[in-house]
Amino acid sequence: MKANNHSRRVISNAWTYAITQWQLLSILYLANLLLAYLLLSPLRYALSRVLANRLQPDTISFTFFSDLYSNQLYLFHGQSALIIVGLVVYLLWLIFSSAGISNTIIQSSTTLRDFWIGGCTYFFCYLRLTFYMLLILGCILFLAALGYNFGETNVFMIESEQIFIHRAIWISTAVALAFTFVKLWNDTLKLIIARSTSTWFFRDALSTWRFIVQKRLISTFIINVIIAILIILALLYLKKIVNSSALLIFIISQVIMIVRLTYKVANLKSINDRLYPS
Amino acid sequence: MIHNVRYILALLFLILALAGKCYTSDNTIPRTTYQTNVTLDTATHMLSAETILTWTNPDHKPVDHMLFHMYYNAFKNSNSTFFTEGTFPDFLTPSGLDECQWSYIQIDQIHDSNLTDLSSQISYIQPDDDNLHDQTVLRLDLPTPIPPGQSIQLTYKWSAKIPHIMPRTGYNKEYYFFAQWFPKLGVYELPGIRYATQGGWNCHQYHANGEYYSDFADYTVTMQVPNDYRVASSGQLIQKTPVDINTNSWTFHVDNVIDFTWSTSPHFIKQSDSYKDTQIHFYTYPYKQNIADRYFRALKFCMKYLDTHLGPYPYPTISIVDPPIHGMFTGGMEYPTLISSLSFTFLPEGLRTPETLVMHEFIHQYFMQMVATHEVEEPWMDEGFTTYWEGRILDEYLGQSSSMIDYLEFHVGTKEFNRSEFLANPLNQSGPNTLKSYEFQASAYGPISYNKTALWLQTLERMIGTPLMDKIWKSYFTTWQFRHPCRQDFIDVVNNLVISNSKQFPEGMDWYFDQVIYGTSLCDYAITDITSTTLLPPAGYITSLQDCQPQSHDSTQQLYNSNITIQRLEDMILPLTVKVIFDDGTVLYDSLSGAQPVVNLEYLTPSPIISATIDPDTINYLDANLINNSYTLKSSKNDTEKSITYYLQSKVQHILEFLSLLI
Ligand SMILES: [Zn+2]
Repeated sequence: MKANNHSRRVISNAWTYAITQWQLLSILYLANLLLAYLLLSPLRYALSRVLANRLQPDTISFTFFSDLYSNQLYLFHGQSALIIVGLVVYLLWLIFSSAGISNTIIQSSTTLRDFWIGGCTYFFCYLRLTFYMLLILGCILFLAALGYNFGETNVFMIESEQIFIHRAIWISTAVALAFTFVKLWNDTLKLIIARSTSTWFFRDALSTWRFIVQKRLISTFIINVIIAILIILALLYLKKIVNSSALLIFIISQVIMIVRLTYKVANLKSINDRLYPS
Repeated sequence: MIHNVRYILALLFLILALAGKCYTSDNTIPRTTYQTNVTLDTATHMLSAETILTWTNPDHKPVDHMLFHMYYNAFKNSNSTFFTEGTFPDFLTPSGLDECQWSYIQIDQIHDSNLTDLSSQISYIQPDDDNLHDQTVLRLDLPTPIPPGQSIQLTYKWSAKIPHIMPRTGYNKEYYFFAQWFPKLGVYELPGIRYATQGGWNCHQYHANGEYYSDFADYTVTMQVPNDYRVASSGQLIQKTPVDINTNSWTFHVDNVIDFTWSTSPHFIKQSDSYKDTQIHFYTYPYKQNIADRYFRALKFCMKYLDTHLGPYPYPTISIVDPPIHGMFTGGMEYPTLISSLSFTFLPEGLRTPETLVMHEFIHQYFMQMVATHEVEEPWMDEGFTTYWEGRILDEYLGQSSSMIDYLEFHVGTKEFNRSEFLANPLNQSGPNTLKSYEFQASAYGPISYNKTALWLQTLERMIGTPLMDKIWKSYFTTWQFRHPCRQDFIDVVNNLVISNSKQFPEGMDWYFDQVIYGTSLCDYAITDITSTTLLPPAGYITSLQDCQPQSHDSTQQLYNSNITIQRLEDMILPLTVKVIFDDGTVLYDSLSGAQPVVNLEYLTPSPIISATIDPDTINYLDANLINNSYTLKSSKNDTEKSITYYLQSKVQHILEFLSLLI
């Protein structure tokens, strides 16, 4: 009972903390907004030329996109290269900002100074962590693919497609579980790295599992995910009922984005508070 | 005098020709009958059968040979025309599976009603190409030609090895689907039928691209299958009796159809429904029996629609086979009174594959089964007509904007689907509709035969109006059911009715068919510019030298000179309407022939133009780009653009943020 109360307090503190970090959230949100805006610039320009002086259809239909695709193919040229560059840039920013968020939380700071300092200090350390994370995720997906292909995959050799469905359900559940643990490990390790003065990366990486079990971080982590999902679902429902206005839909999408960013901060804060109760 | 003799001879010739044409619909010629007894050996995957065929010579001259389709030989080896043309999906090619997938069919013994053995009179011919390896057309030379109007009764024992996973037919595991499985007579075309100038057989080899052509006949087929197997078949079950402890005998009968197909499996479950006097039977494997309701609802809607718009479906049964996943090589095909569909257990309601397939294949009961066009020589006349009707019925059934897909953020209607299939295909101008199915470049066959035809039929309907179009279809169906029309027969029906009913097209529609059937051009009209300049009212000595009118700057007297530039960006010429909206709310409609590459429309009006739109009522579904059909001087930034940029902006933001799962 006591533990539950403690857990509840940690989570509510963390979300309150995250919401009040408006400077931090603004930086995270603006970076996301701006990069997407820049990535879409060529397409936006081309579109404005194609649609200049054209009457708008009542709804944006499949026909509109298929006509755009069949007749204005040049609009889509170069987009894929640009998207890859954008993804790499954003990935680097995420590594930097993640280090910044961790440091802000650890320093119990309310200004952006510690965000920038943290970003610079732990960037390479977090870059290495991301590399390991990619490696682990690669292994999980490889195992999943292996599992999926373990049975018969030729459609002419199976009795019914239910085999595929059952296999897909089991494997995606396993992947989701594995991913949840790995992500929790990753978030916890980020905080440990930022607190620790040692350079024993692997020792920290292994000891993280001990902390996760000891401090029962999994429940905190899952509650945070559920809170974020519930808020987002409510917003998606709202989006569905205001389906008529493009601007309103856009605004709701932006709110969802802010919720996602807030979750990111709140989750790290709650893990931090369980790891290192003040 | 000589002139007169020539004149009389010409007249006599004409009368004879007409008589020949009349003879084609002569009901005194008895229909061909097939009586077949076939045994399925599931251990060896063999069919052994005996068929009694009765055929009557409909011609005025004796017939000395007969041609048969032996289509299982298409899968006899890799040298057949079917495999050398090889434009079928890769997954259907023989793979490294353990069993020998190849098949064959052969006539083991044949004799006539006098018990004259004709087995030595058999040879294989290749009427379409010089591929001597192809054995898909069999010629039987008759020692005694069949006199005009006389019948021949042939009894032949034949056997076939059933193909394993081949396009549209064969077996896999315990599922069997028998299409093109028996020696089937070609079509004896009399002069006047389609393009025939003299009586003769029309019998094509089996090609990789394209389907079939055969004549109306009455079928009685008895299948002997293991007693745990259930049979789904063309026609009506008239008897089911046990043969011995292990075998049951199923007898099906159907009159006046162009083919006969059946399927069997020990796992089939059967569900039934009905529309008027027609029994609807649905066969599938137990794990997907829940889909039955979607099929029954869609099929009954479709049957009612066609009953109203074309005419009744005259057969007592229609059977649907939805194969298990390992039998999907047979799905989505049309055979008389039996159609195969395809569905998956996890298919959401918004993906309309079952509805689309069951309606499409059922519409084929009208176009290619009852109105028995040549599927190989004129594929658009069955596939295109069917796609057009499928669009009409699905739109009515599920709503225009989501009749194909209505799932998550994806909404696609049939017309949109046809447009994108045809217009986005790079080979969409590679041939006219007049190509035979095997003459198409592989990926162009579908877009041109199916989708282009549906689009130009929809455009024709919008040009002449739905009531007249309905009249045309009804007349075409009534005139040509249980016969073999060709494109000119359809064109004649359209022209006759358009000339007598349409004020807009008193010359008929040949100008249109020349472009859409015989031509390959695309259509795209665009408004490329609009200008509006102010004209001051006239000033100076206008009426007399005594009356000098000063220049008025009164805005109520101002006139505007507006110009709209319309360009034809492709070669197809269609009449078009332009809707012009002026600032004071005035709306004008202008009709153009569409022939000139560039047209300037000039207006002198008290108000400037706000916008203009080509084809405001969406008559032309062939126009390749609808975005350039409008032009406006009013708004600088339009809502569509905003919606798209907003939409893409948030999508990209959220996709980017998903990367944080890695960090
Ligand atoms: Zn079809």
